[in-house]
Amino acid sequence: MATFNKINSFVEAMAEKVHNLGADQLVAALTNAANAPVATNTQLSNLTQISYTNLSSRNFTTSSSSQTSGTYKLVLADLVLTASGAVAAFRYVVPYNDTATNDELIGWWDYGSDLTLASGETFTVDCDAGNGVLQNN
Amino acid sequence: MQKIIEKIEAAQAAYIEAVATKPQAEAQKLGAEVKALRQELAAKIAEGAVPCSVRWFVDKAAGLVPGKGCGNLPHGILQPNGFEICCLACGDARPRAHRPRGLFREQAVAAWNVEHDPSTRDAAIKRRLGGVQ
Repeated sequence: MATFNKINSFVEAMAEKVHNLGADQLVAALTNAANAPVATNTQLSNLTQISYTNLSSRNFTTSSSSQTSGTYKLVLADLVLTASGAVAAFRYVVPYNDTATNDELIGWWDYGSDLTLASGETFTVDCDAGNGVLQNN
Repeated sequence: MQKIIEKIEAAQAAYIEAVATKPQAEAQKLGAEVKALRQELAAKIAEGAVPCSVRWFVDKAAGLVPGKGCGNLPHGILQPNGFEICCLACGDARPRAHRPRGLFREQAVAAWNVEHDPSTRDAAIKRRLGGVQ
């Protein structure tokens, strides 16, 4: 499973009403190996995204945004990206908040090297329901 | 269940519009409705599931080992290709392939119950430890 990396400004944004992760629409941005996200990025305009031609919806489905015994956990359903034709290579999947004013970034998964999808192929972002996409305690 | 999903979609659309056009308090109220509907959906998916009684964790020497669960009711997730039941309080150290899923929610609930119902749990753990960890 790809490691989840945190955007530094996300933790501050969480505390300053930028996000309402229980209701906001989260979306996956994709970037390639030559345009890696870094922890000091803050918003979508900081990224150089790939072309999304021939790619299905990148909207995440939120399942839970809650705390247990003081530990917050965001749980998303898996995201299946389906190609209806050739899709540009990508290495990083970067969830961002599409409802927030500046499309603030949350973090990113690094899949190790550029991946390509041919028509009919799928790519699943496994969001690990048990542990949540992110925890805050 | 489809009705709840449609309600969630409508509530989220109203919330997103409110974020851009209405006072913050009104948007927050609509956001809370979205969250409540999502909880309702999760509860519906997990209907019939027994409380969490086993937590798998990683031991450096022994690998995956079972421990005591938290006793909370599990959470149901609508996945792209079916349903998943999991415990939000405990988490689960097992790889994805070993988490209870099903094409139908009843299958996922049944798979969860086999591992957490006291009458079947021990045998399920033995099978798990005897197989791929």
